Amino acid sequence: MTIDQEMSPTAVISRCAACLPLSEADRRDLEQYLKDQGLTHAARFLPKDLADLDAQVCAPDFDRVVFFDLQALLAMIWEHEPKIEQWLDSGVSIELVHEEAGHCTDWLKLAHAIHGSLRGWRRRLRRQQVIAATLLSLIAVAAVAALLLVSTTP
Amino acid sequence: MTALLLLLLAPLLMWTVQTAQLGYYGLPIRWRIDAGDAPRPVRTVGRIVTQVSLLGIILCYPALRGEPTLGYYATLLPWSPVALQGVQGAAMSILFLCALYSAWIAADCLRVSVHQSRRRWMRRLALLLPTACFGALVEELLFRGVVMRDLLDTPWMPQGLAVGLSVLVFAGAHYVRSVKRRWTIFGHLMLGLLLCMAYLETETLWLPLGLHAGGIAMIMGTRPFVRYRGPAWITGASIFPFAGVAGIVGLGFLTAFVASAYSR
Repeated sequence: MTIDQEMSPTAVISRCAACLPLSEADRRDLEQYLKDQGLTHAARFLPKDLADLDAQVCAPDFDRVVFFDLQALLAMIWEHEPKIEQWLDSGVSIELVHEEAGHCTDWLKLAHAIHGSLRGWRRRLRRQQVIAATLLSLIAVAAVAALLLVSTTP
Repeated sequence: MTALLLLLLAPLLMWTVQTAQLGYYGLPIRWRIDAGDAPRPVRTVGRIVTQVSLLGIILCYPALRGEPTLGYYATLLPWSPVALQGVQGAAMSILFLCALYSAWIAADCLRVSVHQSRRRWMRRLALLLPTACFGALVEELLFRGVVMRDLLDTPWMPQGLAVGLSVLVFAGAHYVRSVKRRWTIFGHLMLGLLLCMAYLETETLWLPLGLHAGGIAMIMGTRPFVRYRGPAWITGASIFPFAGVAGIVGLGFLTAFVASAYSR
């Protein structure tokens, strides 16, 4: 938003949302970007609240959504399956603070970045499932052991 | 019925303090107990008033019966081998939730993702056991030790009605404050039935305390690491894995098991 827009009584304030990255350094970069763009009023969403962001964009409560980078946008797509087509239909603009591949016309490079992101996300999901299954099994075994121990105590 | 009257004073006190505070900050009166978007001191004082009023009921009730407070609760939590029922209860609810979580992770209804900072989830895990034990202890002392026992001791009241009322009071109390989801009440009703049956069959608070604490520990311990993908009618949501159909049916089985295994 320009200074002129801020001063004008008829200026339409952009309804902007920003997806906060987990890392503090990245978060500082994003905050700086918002400040530079005059978007300090943007609603901030933590990664855990991105399902709410999707619902509010579809409402539609926002017309601009800022992500830290392409990986952050893709991570949201894989993890929360947002209704991106609805976003685009309602004219929501998606902005990236770091656009390494965002405005890239090298489609092979872009496809490679998307594939890499999907592969990494699947690997992470599988690893998390294995860790969760292992921990839940250990907890269940401990519970059974406690139950047996207590039940056989005279 | 003394306990029920005492318990009714708690929301009245909570609402009065909330109203006084909202007035202090020049905000309009709210008919619900809801300090969600109010200034931080309103929320903090609201929480303190809730805890103090509940503890007040727990401490005052034995005196109203003419019994010493410690003596009264010592009969409900006897230090004898019966206390091992607490371990059994905790193990049962942990097993129950392990089974639910495993099935939902396998079906991709529940996704594992760390959505809190390391500092926050480590602090949560460090405080998990005391939080679960304290939360369960306060609720068991209040809802089984005071309300249910008072209703069971009411001469004209049939046992079934006393249990039914206790279940309703337990579930209803979780919705006195404004909440995000109301449909979870069916889960709370079923959970209330399980805990009331556990008390009815054992006549001590150890088993319901164990069941309750084990459940809280599992739910709060997994909370920073899981995200519900639903459908919510099957899995429940957020801190209510027992509120979906699977959870309610599971609690039903657990209730039937407790009623048969601990039957006097």
